[in-house]
Amino acid sequence: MTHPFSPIKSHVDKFRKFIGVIIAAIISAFMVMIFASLLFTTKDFTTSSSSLNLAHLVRMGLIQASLSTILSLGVGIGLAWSLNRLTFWGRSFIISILATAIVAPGLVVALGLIKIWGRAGWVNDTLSILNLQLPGSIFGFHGILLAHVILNGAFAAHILLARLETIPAQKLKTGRSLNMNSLTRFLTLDWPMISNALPALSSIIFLLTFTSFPIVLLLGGGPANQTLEVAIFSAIRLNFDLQGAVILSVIQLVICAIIIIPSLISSAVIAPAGITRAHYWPDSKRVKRLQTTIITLSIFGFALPFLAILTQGLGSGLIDTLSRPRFWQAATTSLTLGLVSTALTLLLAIRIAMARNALNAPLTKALVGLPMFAYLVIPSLVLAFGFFLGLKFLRIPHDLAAPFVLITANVLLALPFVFATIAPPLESIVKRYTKLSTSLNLSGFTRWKLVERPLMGREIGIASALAFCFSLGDLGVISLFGTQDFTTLPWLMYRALGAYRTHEAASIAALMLMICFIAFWALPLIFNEIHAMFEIKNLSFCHPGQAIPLVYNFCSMPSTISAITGPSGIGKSTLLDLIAGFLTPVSGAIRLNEVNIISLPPEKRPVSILFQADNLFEHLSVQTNLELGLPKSSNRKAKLIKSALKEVGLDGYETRRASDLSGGQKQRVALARTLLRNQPIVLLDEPFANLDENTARDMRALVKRLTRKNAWHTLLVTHNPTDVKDLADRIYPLGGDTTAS
Amino acid sequence: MQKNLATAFALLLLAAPNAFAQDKPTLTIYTYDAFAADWGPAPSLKDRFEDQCNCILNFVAADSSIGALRKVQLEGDTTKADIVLGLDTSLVGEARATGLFAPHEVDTSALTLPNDWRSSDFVPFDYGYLAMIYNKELMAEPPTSFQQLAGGDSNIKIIFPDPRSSTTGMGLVLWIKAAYRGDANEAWPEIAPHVITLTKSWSDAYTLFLNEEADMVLSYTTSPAFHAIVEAEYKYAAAPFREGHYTQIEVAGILNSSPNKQLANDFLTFLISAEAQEIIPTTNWMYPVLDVPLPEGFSDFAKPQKVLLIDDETVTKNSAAWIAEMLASFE
Repeated sequence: MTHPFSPIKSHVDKFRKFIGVIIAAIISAFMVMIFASLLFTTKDFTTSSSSLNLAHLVRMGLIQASLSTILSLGVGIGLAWSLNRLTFWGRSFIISILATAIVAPGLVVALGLIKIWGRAGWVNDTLSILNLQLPGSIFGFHGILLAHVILNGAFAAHILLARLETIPAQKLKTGRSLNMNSLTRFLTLDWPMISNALPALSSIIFLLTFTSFPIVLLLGGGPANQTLEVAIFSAIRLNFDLQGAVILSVIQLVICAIIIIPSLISSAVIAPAGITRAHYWPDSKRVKRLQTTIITLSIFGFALPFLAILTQGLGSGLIDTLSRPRFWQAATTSLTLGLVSTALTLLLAIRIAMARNALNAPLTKALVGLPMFAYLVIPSLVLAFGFFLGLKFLRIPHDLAAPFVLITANVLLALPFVFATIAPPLESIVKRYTKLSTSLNLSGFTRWKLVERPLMGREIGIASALAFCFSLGDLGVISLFGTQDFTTLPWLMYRALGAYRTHEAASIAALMLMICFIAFWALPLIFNEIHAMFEIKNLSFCHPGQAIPLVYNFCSMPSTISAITGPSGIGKSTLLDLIAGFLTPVSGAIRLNEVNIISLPPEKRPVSILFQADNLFEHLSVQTNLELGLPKSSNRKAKLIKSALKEVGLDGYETRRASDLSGGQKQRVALARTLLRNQPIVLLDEPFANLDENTARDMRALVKRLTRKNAWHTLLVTHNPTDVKDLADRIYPLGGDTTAS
Repeated sequence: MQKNLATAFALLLLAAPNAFAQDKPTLTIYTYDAFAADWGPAPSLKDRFEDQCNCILNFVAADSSIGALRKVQLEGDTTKADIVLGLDTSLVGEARATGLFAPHEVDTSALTLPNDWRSSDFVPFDYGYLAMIYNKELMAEPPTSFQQLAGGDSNIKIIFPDPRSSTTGMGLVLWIKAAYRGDANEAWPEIAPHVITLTKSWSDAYTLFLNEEADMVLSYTTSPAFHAIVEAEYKYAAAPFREGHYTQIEVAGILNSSPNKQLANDFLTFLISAEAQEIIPTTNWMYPVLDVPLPEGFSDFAKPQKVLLIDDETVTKNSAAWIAEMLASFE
């Protein structure tokens, strides 16, 4: 894929490149260290080399992983497509379940699957009423594929659905006006979004399935179906053949690298990001039936195993499990580890994604992305041994290092998933807004805070849920580092399984699923408080008797103050009147968060306006003046007014009559009203002109603080250079060609 | 965020055991997880031994006995472990070959063990017999031998852990070898069609069996006692096999590098005393090595008539080949 345009270079890009490359280098160095510590210490051990049919294992692995990947993607695309079109009760519940699949321990999912499809599973139980039985058994190659599709197809569906939901409403409207049918819409509107996410997604699924271990062993129906990973495990565990294990791991690493490098080189197409208002898309009845069928089958396939896990786990054993201190100890450890690892993982993934966006050369791009996937490819037992020997070499006590090692392992494990979730939207945003951000000379942090972070809130939510759930506990590493007092939830579950305590294990599995479920439901909501972008495009207005129309172009981010300057009569107040809706333009658009507000009447616009004077009704009390800014029905008026007055420093002024206030106090009350109206666009027309210098200074500080705090788009019309100097983040001089910006 | 991180790290560090706080000598024992778990023997053993030793007993759990051995091997001289506890007879030969273990000074003459197992470097502390466990309600007449299980007209499905990842699974390979002697290579192809799947660990296989996915599972003759005593569930039983049952003896060994050899010997002497042995049956679900009275429910399940055991040296020499032999019959 070629670049649509060559990105603009800026100091932000340079910095981002630098940080990302450093992180990638550190991760690579870390991996090399692990291998090195294994290789250099092996001579201390008596090893018996293991004989195995390498070609057979690789072939088996490739066939299995390719099929699993293709099937998972197919199911994921179908399901995401259906969920994107249909709205029904319980939809968001289904979506959260889909997300939970990927983070559930493979063993738990496999057992859930067997509980449904096994010899004594729910399906056979139901069929037995009719004296029927499923043909064949769940164990075998098809069992492996089924489990992989359930785990990874659900993940794919979740990620792809998030991409589909960012298609802007305007595009959909255009599509409808062109009378696109379902297929054309899919090919022209949906597919670019889907293909944007496919490279990273397919890489992950391939790696996961190629290195799958407990599932392949458990559902494979015997040693004929196995992977390289099983061989590595047996080499290291049974024969203590560390050197052999390292060699096999490197082989696995190389095979996987060859397969995923092409996907990392490819560059995403420009696609919109952020959430748009859902637009109803009427599909034909036949297509709707197909979508309903897909969703019904998926609920059957995906949700039933999880329901089985929950019903087994939330039964009688639950109280017993919850009453044990060991559960709470493990839960506290898991949650703490989870939170720390999530923060670190997000940081690293975002940094690497930013660096990849700032880089041009495809190969460098791939090399920066590659180290992230290393952990997926190297068996966790190999890593655990490497960690262990590395620490021994550095003479660090293992029990002290355990939490740090676990966090490192968690971060590395979750990194590729988090990357796959946030990289495509970040790339889209960067491609779309680089020009704008660079022209506004936004610093890297401002760019992140105002543009990238708000526009990908939902993806960040999903990514943090992913990282959090993965971080509840990595099993490979804790097997060497865990002690009596340092236990995580998954580890406790395996412990219980190993001591006949199947009920306790089932309860822990169910509780872990619930925790993840809640994380996937809540975190995207928490992060998705999207901030509006305010944009004026080719807005033209002609005063009666004027020959040349005024044309305005303007753009603002939240929490910014833009100063509109220029000589009198140049059209500054006209602009404010147009935004507020007092004047009707000839043509053009005023968009807040991509929604055109041009046709709204003044009282319905998301705008507050503050004039030079006469903002208050002088004969009314402060309280009454402020009540005018609130909806009539509000029953918490008094409380809201009190807090707004406190915010502007006029605590206790409710009963004063407006005419008794000084000029500065009046403007403060007017600001308090703006605050109460709580509109994202705030227009200030010479608000400090009648104030003495000291009062004006305080007011400026107040406006600045409120703008930042409430994420306002503040437009300030002023003649005063001090206002501009002290207050404005950006200046729009009007004059000359009457075009702002 | 940095502050939050620092707090989180501090919290995590608090969770790590604090071994430096006391002046008393600490005896560190590496063992497998189920032994050290709070439902296992470790907590009671710790209480009782600390009452008499003026020391601190510290159990460190690895995921399995082989894991505990590997951990000591990786640590070498820097290990904090004084004792590795829980190796079974199929691992003893390999453990001995590492040269990490020292001879013990424990008097084991009073022990009653199948085949009268003795060793100068490892102290046996419990034992059990491998058995195929079945559900009496679902199978009225279990097979009485491998031959009958594998026989042409039997439709019995079994499940067991992969010998490459589980020592219990390795136990089955040894069992078949001991039962069939030279003919094991003929036995496996007959058994293979009855195997639904191999699992990574014993617990996975056992869970699937409890879910009724298999008719029989590889476990121990003492497994039904767990269900009877803890769950008051009497439907599980071990099928007695004519060929005999393979013995797994669990042992503990003192490390050469231990600075607390006297204390370690004291602990092992305690471990095979009546006081400690009476804890074993209902916490580790194995037979005690002393003639102590078995708890109610435990004695209901008879010990096998005929027992099998292959000596350590033969096991160590041949295990890789025997696993390969077994795997070959599945392809």
